[in-house]
Amino acid sequence: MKALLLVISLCFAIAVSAAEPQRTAFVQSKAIKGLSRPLQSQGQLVLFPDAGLLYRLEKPVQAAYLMSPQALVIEEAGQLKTLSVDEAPWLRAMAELLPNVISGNERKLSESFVIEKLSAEKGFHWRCVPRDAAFRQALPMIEILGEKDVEKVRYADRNGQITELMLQPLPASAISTTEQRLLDALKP
Amino acid sequence: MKARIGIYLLMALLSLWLGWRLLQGHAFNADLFSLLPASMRDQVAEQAIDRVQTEVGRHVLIVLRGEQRETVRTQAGKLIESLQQSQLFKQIRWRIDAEVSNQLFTSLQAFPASLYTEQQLSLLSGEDQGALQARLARQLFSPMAVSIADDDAFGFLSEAVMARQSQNGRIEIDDGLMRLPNAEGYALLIDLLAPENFFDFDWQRQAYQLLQKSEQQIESAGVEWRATGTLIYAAQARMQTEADIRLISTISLIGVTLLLAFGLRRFQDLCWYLSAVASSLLSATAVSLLVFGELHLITLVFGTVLIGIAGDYAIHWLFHRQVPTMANEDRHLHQSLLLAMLTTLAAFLAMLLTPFAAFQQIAVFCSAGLFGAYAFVRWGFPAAHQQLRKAVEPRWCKWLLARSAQPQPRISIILLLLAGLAIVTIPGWLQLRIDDDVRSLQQRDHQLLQDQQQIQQWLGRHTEQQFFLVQANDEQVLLQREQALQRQLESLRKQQAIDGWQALSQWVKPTEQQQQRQQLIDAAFAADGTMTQTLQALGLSEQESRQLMATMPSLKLLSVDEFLATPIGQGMQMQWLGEYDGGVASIVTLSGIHDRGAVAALQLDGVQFVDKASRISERFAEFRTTATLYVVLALALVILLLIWQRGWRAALQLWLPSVAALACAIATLGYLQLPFNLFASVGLLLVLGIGFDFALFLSETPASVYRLRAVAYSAVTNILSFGLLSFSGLPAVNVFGITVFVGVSAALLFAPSVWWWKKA
Repeated sequence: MKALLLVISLCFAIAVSAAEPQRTAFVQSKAIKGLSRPLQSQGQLVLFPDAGLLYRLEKPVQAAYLMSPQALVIEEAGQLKTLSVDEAPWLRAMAELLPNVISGNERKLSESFVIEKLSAEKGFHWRCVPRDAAFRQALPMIEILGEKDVEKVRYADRNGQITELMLQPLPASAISTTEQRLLDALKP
Repeated sequence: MKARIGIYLLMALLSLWLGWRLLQGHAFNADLFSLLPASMRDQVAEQAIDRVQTEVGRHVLIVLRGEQRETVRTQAGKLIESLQQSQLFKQIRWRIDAEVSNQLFTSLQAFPASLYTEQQLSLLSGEDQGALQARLARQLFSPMAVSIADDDAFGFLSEAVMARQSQNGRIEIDDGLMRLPNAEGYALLIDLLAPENFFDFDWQRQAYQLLQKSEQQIESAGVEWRATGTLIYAAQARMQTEADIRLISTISLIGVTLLLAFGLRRFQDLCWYLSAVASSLLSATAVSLLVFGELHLITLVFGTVLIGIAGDYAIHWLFHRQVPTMANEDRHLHQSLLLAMLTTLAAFLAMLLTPFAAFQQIAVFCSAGLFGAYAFVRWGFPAAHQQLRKAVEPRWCKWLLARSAQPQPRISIILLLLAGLAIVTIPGWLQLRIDDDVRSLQQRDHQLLQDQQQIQQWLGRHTEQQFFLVQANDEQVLLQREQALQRQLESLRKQQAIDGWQALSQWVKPTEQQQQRQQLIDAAFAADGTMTQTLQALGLSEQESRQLMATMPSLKLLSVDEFLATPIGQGMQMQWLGEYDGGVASIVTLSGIHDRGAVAALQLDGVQFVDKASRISERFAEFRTTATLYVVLALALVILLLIWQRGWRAALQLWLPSVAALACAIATLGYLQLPFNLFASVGLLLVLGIGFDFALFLSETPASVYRLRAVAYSAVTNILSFGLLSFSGLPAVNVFGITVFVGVSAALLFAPSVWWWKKA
């Protein structure tokens, strides 16, 4: 009986955790051409397995960007705006790329990138170069580092501006009302 | 004798010239639109139509679709290799190199004053500080701010260019190739640009064969092939027409030959008949090529009726030869043949007066053919009286002659027959449908139409052949007029009357507007401007803000010429017609017209909606009405002349068979649900002409075997020639063929009724 209860509890726990999004805190440092110091920002990345990735900026301003392969929901200055893929053609690529980068999904990443595994003292260090030439033009390289989970992502754009994201996994928690509002905006 | 040698020499010379001309190539054309009349009085509008037709028509879009990305890409690579090796296409667009994409932005960097969107300018004006702050925060702190263009720190230029480009279609670049994300599975687009002479026969045949071969190879590899473009429609229409010509002329020639072999029963006579038909076709083709430089296939399809009509002279000569005659009777025959030739020639030459190149070509072709046949019979044949033969008197002739001698039926029976005819034909007339749409004259393959619709749906755009022509005295006024038009088009787009449009003024603003916008941008980027304030609110120091803004290139005003030199502008060369008569003109193309009425109703200064197909359809309707009126007038004129010459009884005797034949032809179109159009009304004119001749010949007294046989054989050969046109796959030829076939058959059937009245 105890074993049965244990199994039921486990199943319940798995079901609950499956419904809960994966959360990661980030600190972003972005070196911009023409600026002597990198720009710092902080926030939270929330991965909804069936919906998309939420990039919630908390500092220096509050904003939220929910990306899915179909649309982008933007919440800026309290205003909610939805852009379809037709309005922002690069969105599909970003929405497919970012969750795989954040979760370090090597198999998925290797479909779009040539992954070079660099030596690392602990964990892993991948240098990912886009297979698509046009994509490579916009984003020449992404580096992904970590021990067990992805801890650091670094990428450079075509102007040589380097963005570095330091990631810290957060405990799982239920979808908030604000997040639900963004998810609802994704629905056609 | 000298005349005979002369005509043989002339025919030999024509044959040699024609052989040489055909070896030169480019003798035939299959472009239906090239036969249509100029639809606009305005020369600039005609130039614009040519430009749009050529530019839009030159593209062939191919979509390869499959489940496996790599399979589709491999097949695309193989296809491109074979297309490149063939060197048949001027340009093959399938790969967008990163460098090209970079050049695209670089070339536009200096022109924010023309390119920034209204929304971006509203942000820069500082009306909504929060919105600008959010926009800059997104650029500086979010992951969606990957810079696509150099020196575009705030992403405004990338955003502005992409916003315009996304209006023009749903294409993604996947590892350099153009992918259609809306298609299920993995689909790649390949855009082929044909050379300017893409209606050239040889080129079209080679290109179409290559595409068909490629399609088979691609599909055998499990990848779906879809293609659309004027080339494919034109090539298929050409093949259909060629097949029609082959079928109609072969059956017509074999049928007529067998018929005459049975009637003449002498190989030598048959050879004379065939030589008359050959000289007719030879003269027709050679003279038409001399006059027009090239021949349209549709002329050849209509021209096959020459086999029936032109052979009539030989038939009369050959049957005349079977009756003992004297030299002076030969002269009488030649006079009759000359009269017959001149009246038919007059009917065909009247077609020259129409503004339709198609009818003009058919008129010259048939007139030359008729004259060639007449000349060969008149001067090339030996004198008929020199070769007397015993006349053949078939049983059917004797039976008909006996019928003609019988007393007439009662008037009540004639009235009953007329009532019966009315009962049979009236329901057909009531079902008659008038359709003058020139587009319905082109036969379109169902599969090709499906492919076209599917590709348009995946692509999200389709440049229509209808467009707006904008004219002004100078470039600035032109751009202002385009902008006024764009405002109207925007409201039409919201009403879903159109899907979108493409205009130069989407990229190039009038100079005055650019200057105002430049002032606004300068103010926003000034030391105390909204940009500086907002950047500082986001945590940047004053110096950092200045550093960031210093990366922006200096602003310049954009002119149409400068824009047309950029990679995007080069793709829009079609839109710019340039200078003409002291003014300038441009084209605003439309995509997805769903409510033509609403679009055509737009009224703006210097702007006109150009829809060649509709204009031509309107002219088709005008000429159909005129041609129908001619039929009615001809009927009225004939009856009045006959009453004046022969009295009302004889007039009705000759007139009624033709009226009944016309009634039957019109009713048949109704029953068969075929449209009554210009081709049908021209067919009615021929029915009237040919049908009236039957009644006239049979009414001559005394009725003779020779006359009966000549009329019957000439009628049957005509019916065979026109009847075969009914089987043509081309709607215009088909309607014409059925009208004349039914009309002439009915005229032949009703013609013996002249005997009923004769003996009253």
